[in-house]
Amino acid sequence: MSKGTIYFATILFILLGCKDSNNPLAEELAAMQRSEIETFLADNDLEATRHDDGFYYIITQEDPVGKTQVAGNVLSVYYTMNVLDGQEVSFVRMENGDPLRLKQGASAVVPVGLDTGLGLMKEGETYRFILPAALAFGNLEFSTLIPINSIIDIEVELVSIESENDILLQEIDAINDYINTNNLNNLTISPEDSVEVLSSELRYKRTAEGTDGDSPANGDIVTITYTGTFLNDNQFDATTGNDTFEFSLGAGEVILGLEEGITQMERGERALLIMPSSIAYRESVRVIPDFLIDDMIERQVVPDYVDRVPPYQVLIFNVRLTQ
Amino acid sequence: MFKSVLKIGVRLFLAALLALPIVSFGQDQAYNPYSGQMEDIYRNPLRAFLNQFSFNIMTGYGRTKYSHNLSGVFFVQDQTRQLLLNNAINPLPEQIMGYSNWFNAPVLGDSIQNRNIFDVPFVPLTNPVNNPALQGQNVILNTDTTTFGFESSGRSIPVQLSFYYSFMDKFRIGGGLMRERQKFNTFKPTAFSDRVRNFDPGFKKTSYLKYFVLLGYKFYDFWDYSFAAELNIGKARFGKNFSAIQTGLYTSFNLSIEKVLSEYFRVVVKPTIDLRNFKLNLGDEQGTVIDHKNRTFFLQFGVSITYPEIPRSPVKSDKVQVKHVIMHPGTGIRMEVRGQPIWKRQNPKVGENDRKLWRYKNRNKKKINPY
Repeated sequence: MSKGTIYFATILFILLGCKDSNNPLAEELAAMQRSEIETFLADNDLEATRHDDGFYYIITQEDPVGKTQVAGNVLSVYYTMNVLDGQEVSFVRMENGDPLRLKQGASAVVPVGLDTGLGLMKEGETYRFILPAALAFGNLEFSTLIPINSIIDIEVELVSIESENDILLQEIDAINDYINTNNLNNLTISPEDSVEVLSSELRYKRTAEGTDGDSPANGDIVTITYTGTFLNDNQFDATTGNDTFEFSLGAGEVILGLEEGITQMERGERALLIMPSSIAYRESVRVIPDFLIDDMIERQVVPDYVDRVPPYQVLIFNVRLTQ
Repeated sequence: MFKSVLKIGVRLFLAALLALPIVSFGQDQAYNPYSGQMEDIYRNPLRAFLNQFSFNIMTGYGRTKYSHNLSGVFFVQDQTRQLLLNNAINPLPEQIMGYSNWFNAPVLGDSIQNRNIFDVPFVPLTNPVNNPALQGQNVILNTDTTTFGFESSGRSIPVQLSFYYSFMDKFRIGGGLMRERQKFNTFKPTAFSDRVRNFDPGFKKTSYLKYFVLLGYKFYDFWDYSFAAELNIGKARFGKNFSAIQTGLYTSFNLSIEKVLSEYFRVVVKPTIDLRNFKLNLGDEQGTVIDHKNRTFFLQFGVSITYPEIPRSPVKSDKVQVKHVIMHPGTGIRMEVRGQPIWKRQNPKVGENDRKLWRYKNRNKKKINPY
């Protein structure tokens, strides 16, 4: 063997040896995790089906006559999430209360592999999904709970399948209950006007009259102060101190409910705008588990409003139109 | 005041440097092969003076790492701009005015709207998870609450001219100039690379002119190799792309590996580590200063020449190989001359300067010295 060949082989060996084993290429990681999942399934004598996207699922409770899921519907689910062959990450079970609502098939669920997997289920069924890192949390590391490039093992019970229209009807009921409970139509207790229902299902109630009877028109720059709360009176956002919020009316900058409500108001007026999720943040994004929301926002996986407004929330804006 | 003191200092240094060989020449009694006849032999005083110095010309290749650690500022990025502004301005206004070109020539004027259109009460996204629109959102980083900066690498071609006076056979003192042409890449963020774009200062090439004082010590001789450690301290003048910067002294550490071909001629390979800093004033009311660091590793090569104190023999038929005394055919002056060009060993022993037998190169290729 010539010296040149030896030098070349040495340099090649060094270069190959320098490859960072903690950051393998995506294809290598996928192949490695596929092998790891299949070993796990074999060791635990589990029969799983591999989806074309690369995740595995096991039907733990089947209901052949259950309602079939169609993309765009709203699902209510319970879940238990683990790192594969490792510790429990989080769960929402029946004993914890209401199931989680999410919109399937609309890129509104994290992990993305779970969104696809839920599309396979029928109402009343329980599936176990094993998601490689690329379809779960990628190279995200969350303290010691979720190590980097984790394979996620999540068991999901699909409690119900509803359409968005069903959700809207439920929200309208909840809004009406809120109005009655808070006597918003009782002008003695709650002046100034009674609640007006607009075509978009926005509830508009003037609480203090304006100063000059002048309403803004589309194209105007309006300035408001506001406090935003949920039906349970928990605040999700507000302007603070002397801060105001300014936007161009009719330009589609802000949520429909707020825009429509402002067009009803006069300068200097105060009003309550109660809006169903259909004219607010609709499906938002369901991040499972929810303690990963901040990381997902930081990684620009989900928008910032996800941290403030969960899926299908009725919002109440207490607004003052200052200019 | 400082400048005048510096000028006087430089003048004194140069005067001392020029005086050194004269003093030394006057005391040089060691070499006297023609004892008793020295007064008859002419020696050019300029040659004798220049002979005390070594002149070096070098070039090579350098790799530079630029870095800075931003502190005391907000870094603000939107889809097209990246700005800095002092973080005393807190909370940030709705229109953020900041400085661009903050690597070389800060410019105030660009502004970024400080609103997060992905937060309440702006409109929600359709298909929100991994929506491409999210990649373009504003980034605001307070560098006092996070460690953040940019770094880049560059490639340099240096050309260096230097000289030194050697005394006690070990020590060197001198000075020089270096012209450095540099190309560099865009600056990569040291953190948040998933959100922060590379910073492009708007130009890819620059040059530096450096002038320096040289101090050296030859610490080892091995056969016909010499090893010397050299320290260069000087000032760097930055190219025309830079403004509003303050430069301090720069320092470089050199290991000079010299193949001594003759007493007048050496081939030099010189690995060098060059440490250079500069401060950039943003020019704002708060007096924000960004500290930039340049670290360069050069591998230079070149030649070092000591001017011969005697000329080659002017007599064409003079075939004497060693230094010898002749009578100049034109002037009749007795003078000492060389029998070898400067790059060959002077006063060789028999066979030392034989021509290489190129024709045997192939036949002898497996030998350590194929000639």
